[in-house]
Amino acid sequence: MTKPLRIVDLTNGWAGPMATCLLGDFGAQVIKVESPSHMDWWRGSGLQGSPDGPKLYEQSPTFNTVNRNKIGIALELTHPRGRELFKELIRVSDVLVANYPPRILRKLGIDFDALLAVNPKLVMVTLPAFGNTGPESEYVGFGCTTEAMAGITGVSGYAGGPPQMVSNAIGDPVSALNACFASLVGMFEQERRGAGISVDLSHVEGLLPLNAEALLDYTVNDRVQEPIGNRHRTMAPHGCYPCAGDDGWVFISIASDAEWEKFCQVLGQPAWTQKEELATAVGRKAAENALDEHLAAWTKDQEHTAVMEQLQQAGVTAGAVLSGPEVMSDAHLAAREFLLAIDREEAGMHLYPGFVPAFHPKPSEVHHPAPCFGEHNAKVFGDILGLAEEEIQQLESERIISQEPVLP
Amino acid sequence: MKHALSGIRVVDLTHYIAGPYCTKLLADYGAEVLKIEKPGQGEGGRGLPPFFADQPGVERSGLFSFLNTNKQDLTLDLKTDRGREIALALVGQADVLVENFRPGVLDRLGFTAEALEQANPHLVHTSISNFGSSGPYRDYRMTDGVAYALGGWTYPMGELDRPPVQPGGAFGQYIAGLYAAIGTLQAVRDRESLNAVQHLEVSIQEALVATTLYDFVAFSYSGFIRQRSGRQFHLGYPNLVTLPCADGYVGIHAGLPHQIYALLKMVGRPDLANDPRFQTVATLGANAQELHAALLPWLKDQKKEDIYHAAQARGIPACPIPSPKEVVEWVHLKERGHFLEIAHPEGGTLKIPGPPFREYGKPLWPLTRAPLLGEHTQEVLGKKLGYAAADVRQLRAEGIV
Repeated sequence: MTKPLRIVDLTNGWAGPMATCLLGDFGAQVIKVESPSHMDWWRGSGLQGSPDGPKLYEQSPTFNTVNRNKIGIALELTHPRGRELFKELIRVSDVLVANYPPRILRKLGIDFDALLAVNPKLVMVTLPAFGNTGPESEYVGFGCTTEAMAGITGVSGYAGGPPQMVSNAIGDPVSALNACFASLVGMFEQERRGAGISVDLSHVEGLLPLNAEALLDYTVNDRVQEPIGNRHRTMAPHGCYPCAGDDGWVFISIASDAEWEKFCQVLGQPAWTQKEELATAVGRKAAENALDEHLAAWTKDQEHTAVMEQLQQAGVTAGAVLSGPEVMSDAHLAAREFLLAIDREEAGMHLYPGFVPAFHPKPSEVHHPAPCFGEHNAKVFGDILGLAEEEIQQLESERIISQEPVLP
Repeated sequence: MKHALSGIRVVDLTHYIAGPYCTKLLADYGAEVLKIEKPGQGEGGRGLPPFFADQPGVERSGLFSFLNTNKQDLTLDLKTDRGREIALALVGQADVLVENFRPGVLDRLGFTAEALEQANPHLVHTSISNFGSSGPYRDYRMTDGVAYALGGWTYPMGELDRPPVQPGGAFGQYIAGLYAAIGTLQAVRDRESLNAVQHLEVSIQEALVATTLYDFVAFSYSGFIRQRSGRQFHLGYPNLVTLPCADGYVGIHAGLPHQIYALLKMVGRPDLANDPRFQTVATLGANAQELHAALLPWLKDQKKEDIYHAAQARGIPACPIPSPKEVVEWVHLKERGHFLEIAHPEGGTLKIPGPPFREYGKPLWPLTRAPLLGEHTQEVLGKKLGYAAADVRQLRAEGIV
């Protein structure tokens, strides 16, 4: 039986926590470390409505999404005893994922060299925005900063318009996936060497492959790509068309000449579709503006899902532009039971993204919702590190561990 | 870390972007990847732009050359009995099979679950598809634009009085490839304890939904619907914004109150730090336009590079909005040696981004260029299956390789 990994998660925000969340989904024991004086700042993210309720820090939709399948402790790393206990934890763990800047880890005395001394087989993954070395390694950024620096913002947006941030800070979730992959590759390397390894992951460098087409268009052909809106470089028509209802839209891509023929059939071969030059992508591309108007006139009084179903049944590529609540009720995701309802203390029952990938025959499971602040102090310091109950109480009285955060 | 995955043998039946990116990630970190393509034109990824000198051709795609580094390549007609037998024999010697056929195609080709289990009872079988192998959209067609729409990425992007706008690029396919690579490694780790074929499935739609957070989960909590908010990032942090400057645009990403005060000081408006409009996340959100207006007079005379370094020196998250050219020429990446140069027979010296992570303090390692179509057919069939040169000639004459 492969022993499940034990992961120490010294991260906050989105990218780091989502990386260890995936490892938790896979069955690893993930121990999230916060500090009594500094809770994960993401506990304040995504809050709407009443800003004054009790224990708001347990009610963040975003924090609670990316911290499931972990247990959580609050340990004061600025205190010498706190650091000692952290090292004890590292001694009995396989992987540390940390997203503090290198200088902070050094200052706290928990950089790789210090930790390797207590656990010579440690895999440590650090993920600063710009990497651990280089002239800008101490620079800081959010997901939208790293997205921009990978050149993604610069090629997104309406044609001829200003650059446009991607809607969901793509730098964060992609860095999460890279950090998860780095942790697993790191484990293989550790087993191969029989010794620990420190892995340097720059958010930006992990994002560059996603923008490879634009970057290579420059390195190969000196072409500098700009935003093209909802269009495609070769396919036409290709766009986002208005539908019935409040802010309803459908995305249609005529991906081939054969799809154009099918599309014309669905519409009943109206006169505007019958011009010979429209039979080829080049011809349609030249007539794109006029075609967009015809398409919009056809879609505008229909439901977006109805347009999608009708076109897809006929073999034409189309998709409803789903808002958040529409994702939640999407018929396909529902049929696949993708979204998970998880009940959590202080937050109640909510829907969260399901497991990617889906494994057979051993599917992932939710074994724990996101931990409340310091929820598992007793389990980790008692059961795992073997401290006596009086010692744990002493640590609490000195606020080296706690279940009550200092609020910012 | 170039040998980290060196014990892992992968049979790669993938095409276009999602599948090849998954096996590239494995190959660049040392796995042995055997890419199987159809004889003649090869897989569809060879038809993806940009092309060397803009001239399409089987060996002329820059993107294919990026997505297939460190792999070996053989051609095989999987629609023939002999081709299938050879592929199954290779699967029998491998640890992992990765494919991104449309649901049902693998079965029709004769690679049923039973056939795979018979070939290799410990196989890790990784599948990537548009919508997964079940459900009403199973056979729906997908482009990147449609993937973003159904993954919930498009609706909140753009201006409120215009249509939503898709992100630029093929991110859904890369994200699915990443999920598949992660799942594959996890399954290889679990293999001994499970003693069975493991199948893992990545749906591109689900991969996109799983990488959003601010929309349906936030709605579930509070009924909040995130609307398009132009060049502002809308939700809790109104001051993540793209603003014009003297020579282009900058990203001002001062999300937290102390960063906003440092920013106001930098632009010569420390007086506004005590302004009641800019005190809490809530009031900053309501008065974001006024805050941005206060920054514009200073920004309009400054260059984006200068703003970047000045802001970062004060601990303020800010950046230029670089073009692809400026990314390739960025000094920091040069110092880290991140872009790699690879000689290609038709493309000259190809410059590509390197692997996403490295050992701390160590340089990246050279990658082997993407294989030519069928470049290793003889070698693989000889070494792995003991075929003599004459056998391979015979297979070639029959059009099987």
